Order: sequence, then structure tokens, then C-alpha cells
Amino acid sequence: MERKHPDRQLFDFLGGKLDGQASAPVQDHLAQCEDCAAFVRLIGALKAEAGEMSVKEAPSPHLDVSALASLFYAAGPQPEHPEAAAHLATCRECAGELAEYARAEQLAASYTQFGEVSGEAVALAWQKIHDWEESSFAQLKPAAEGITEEMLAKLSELVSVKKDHLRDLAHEAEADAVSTAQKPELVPVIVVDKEGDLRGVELFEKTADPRGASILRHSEGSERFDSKPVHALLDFGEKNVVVVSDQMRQDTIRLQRVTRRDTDLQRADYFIIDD
Amino acid sequence: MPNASGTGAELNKDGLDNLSDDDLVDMFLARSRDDRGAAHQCFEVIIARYGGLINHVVRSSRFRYPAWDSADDVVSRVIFKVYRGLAQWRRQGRLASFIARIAASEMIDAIRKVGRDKSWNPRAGRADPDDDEPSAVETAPSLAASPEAEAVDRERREIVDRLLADVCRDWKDSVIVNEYIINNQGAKEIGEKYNMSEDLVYQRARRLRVRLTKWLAERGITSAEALLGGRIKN
Repeated sequence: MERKHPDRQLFDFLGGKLDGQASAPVQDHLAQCEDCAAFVRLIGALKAEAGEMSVKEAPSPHLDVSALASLFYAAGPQPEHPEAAAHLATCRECAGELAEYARAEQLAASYTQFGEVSGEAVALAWQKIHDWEESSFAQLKPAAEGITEEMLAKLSELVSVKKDHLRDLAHEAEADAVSTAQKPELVPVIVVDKEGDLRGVELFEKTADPRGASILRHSEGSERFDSKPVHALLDFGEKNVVVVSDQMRQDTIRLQRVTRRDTDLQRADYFIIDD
Repeated sequence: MPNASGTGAELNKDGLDNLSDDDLVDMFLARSRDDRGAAHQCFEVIIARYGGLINHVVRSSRFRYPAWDSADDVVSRVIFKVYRGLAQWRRQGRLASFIARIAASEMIDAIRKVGRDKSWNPRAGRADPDDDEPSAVETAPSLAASPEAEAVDRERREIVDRLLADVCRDWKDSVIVNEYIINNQGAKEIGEKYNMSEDLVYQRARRLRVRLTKWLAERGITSAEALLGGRIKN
């Protein structure tokens, strides 16, 4: 005779939500059904494992904010990003944060213009906007293809002297990134003014164009650096770095393939001259 | 109020108020190229429409903000990012959804940043300074483990990750495993927290059970010990 497996009751039983009387039929079933009994043992082990993981150092880093957003807003299953789904299944912090997207989406869905934002917050925002525009709305100038000795010296100095500062800026930019897709490899690109002074760090996604050539595409999808000169400083461990110069086109930097016979590329730094 | 420094003529406020979101954003983007003042006017209207939403998303969070990164600071960063990111609005969804997403991301980011300051726990209530009880740090067991134990832990973790990666197909599966199956939260609470129906929680839990069982059967695993204690087939 075909047995009917308990469904909700089994999960309630696993969650300790059934009292003695209510749990008796489930226990009777478990005594007879090896499939269900095996499932209960598996979940018990999974709970113990998850409990143990929660009191230890996190074995894998938390999902970054853009990965959380990508998971939440993805349309349909995401078999290509299973590790993120696995992390979310055992990490209470990330699950709690993802719930904030659900809450925000619910508010947006039912939103009809209500309430106001504080004057102080708006004033702060306009200050940020003005500061940003001062550096980003500059008039475009014809880009120079080459790089002067003086500029090269400045960029090299920037890379060596402000290494830690640049790394922090890159981490900050990464944390700020709002990405619509699962984040690919991100490459920080240093933005300097025409004097070679640091303006900031922008994140670019390393990817391939339809013909398979490597490119860096601005992760914000902004074209504000188009036509600006771009220089790649390639360090092969030799006395001098190799400089490859180009222009930004359609928010994209094309990576030219440079090789050395006896040595591998040790480091590459990318600069946009935003004058 | 913005300190508009554009050169174009002042736009008609009523006219802007009557524009659809699509048209308003189009006008904002077009004016951003050559008339900053007009772009600012468009953006003011956008914020008049959606400032309340940003405010609500940020301030009604269950997380709390410290004085040095107040809700006003977070709201101002959201507005700035909306300004900077409007060109990224792909029009597949409502502008409200796009803005709410930026607000939620910024809020989570802020909570994570303050969480890195160990003196501030955004997830807990204030500590009682007069409390004589030993702190959690003082009573926590040593985390040091032998290299062998660490290797076993790592292997178990990998197996669990593989299992969960294979059976969880989207975030809903993941949070149902997390909240319902592992942490015994009620379907009603989960539904409210993640904006899904109670029935969906039960339905997904059933499917997850089927997939978990199938995953084990395909690998010839008949016990929990076999799953977590030894090597398994890929």
C-alpha cells in the first residue's frame, strides 16, 4: 500500500513545533518510512553543521552588496551563481540584509508620493552633487595619444607611494558599486587630472568583446570618460615599465596584448587622464 | 535648493511636475550634457516625487545608524547615487523600484561599514555599561582548532556548500532553507519578511525536500554521516 508522506507536519516536527500528541503520527511514520527518516537525519545534520558554522569564523566571505542585489533582482533561476545561493542558505546576516531589498521593493510597489525627505539630507546631497560635478562635468579636450616623461614619472610615483591609499579607494568604489548583473572581475582604474594628481578610482569590468578581445568596461556604464586618454603601465620586472596609450571609447578600454619572451607580466596599472 | 549654474532658460515647474517619469528622466539626461541648471531642476522634481520613498526605505529599516553616519547621511548618499546613476535606469521596471534598490544597497552598505567598527553593533540593542556579566567575547570558547580538525571542517563545509548550491535555484530557495528548514522560523513570518506568500514557503520547502533527497540518492548517500563525514561522488 502506498504510504502518504507527511509534508508540512514533517517540517513542523523538525522545527520542534509539534507537541507530544501532534508529533505522534509523524514519529509513527518515521518508524516505518526509511526515506522520511533519512531526510530527518539529513536536516538534523544540516542544522548542526549550520549552527557550528555560525559560531566559527565565516569560512567564506559575506556576499557583497551587488551580489546580494543581483540574487534578489535576478529574473528566474541563477544556476550560474550557485555559490551565492549556497552562502545565503546558511548565512543569517546576508539573509537579513537581503530582506531589506524585499522590504524596499514592497515599499516601491505600493508607493504613491508621500512624506518628505529632510532638508538637511537634501542639502547634503546637493553638496555631494556639486562636488562631483566639479570633477566630472569638465569640458572634453582632444586627447593626446602619447604620454610625457613628466606624466609618466608622476603616475609611477603615484603607484608606488600611494599604493595603500589607492587600494582603499578601490575597495570603497567596489563597495559603492550598484551592479545589475553578477559582478565579474573588477579592475580599478586610477583617474588623475592633467597634472597627474589623483582624482579617484573607478571600477571597470574585465570582459571580452564579441570578437574575444579583452576589454575593460566602466562598471557604471557611464560614457563620461569617453575620448579621454588612457595609459596602461605594464610592469614586467624590468628597469622600465611598458606604457600602452589609447583613448576611452564607448565607456570601454581595449586591452592591447603585450608580451615579453622571458618574463611574465607582474603588474598592470591603468590611468585615465581626466582633464 | 541647488545652486544651479547652468546657462539655459529656467524650465517651467508645472510643466516638469506634469511629465511622466520616463520623460522627466529623459529631460534630465539630455540637459545634463549642456545645461546643468535645467538638469538640477528636473532632478528636484524627481526628488520631490521619490524623496519620501528614499526616506521611508532608509528610516524604517530594522537596523539603526550611529550619530556619525546618521539616516540623513545615508539618505543624502542615496540621492547623490540616484543623480549619478539615472542613466542606468533601464526602463524595464518602475523608477520607484530603481530608486528603492539604490536606497536598500546604500543602507546595507552603511550597516556593513558601521558593523566593521567593533564598538558599534547595528544589529543589537545598547549594552548596559553597569552589567557585571562577562561579555560574549570573554565567554566564547577558543576558536583554535588543530590543522586536522580544520581540514575536516573545510571538507564538510565544501560538501554542504555543494549540496546547497545544487538544490537552491534562487534566493527564495536559499532563504527558505535558511529560515524555515534550518532555523525553524514560521512560514508566516518568513512571508512577511521577504514579501512572499505563506503558501509559497510551503510549496518551495516541499520542492527542496524532493531535490535534497534526489541529490543524496544520485550520490548513493544513505545517511547523514555519509554526507558530512566522508568523501562523496561529484
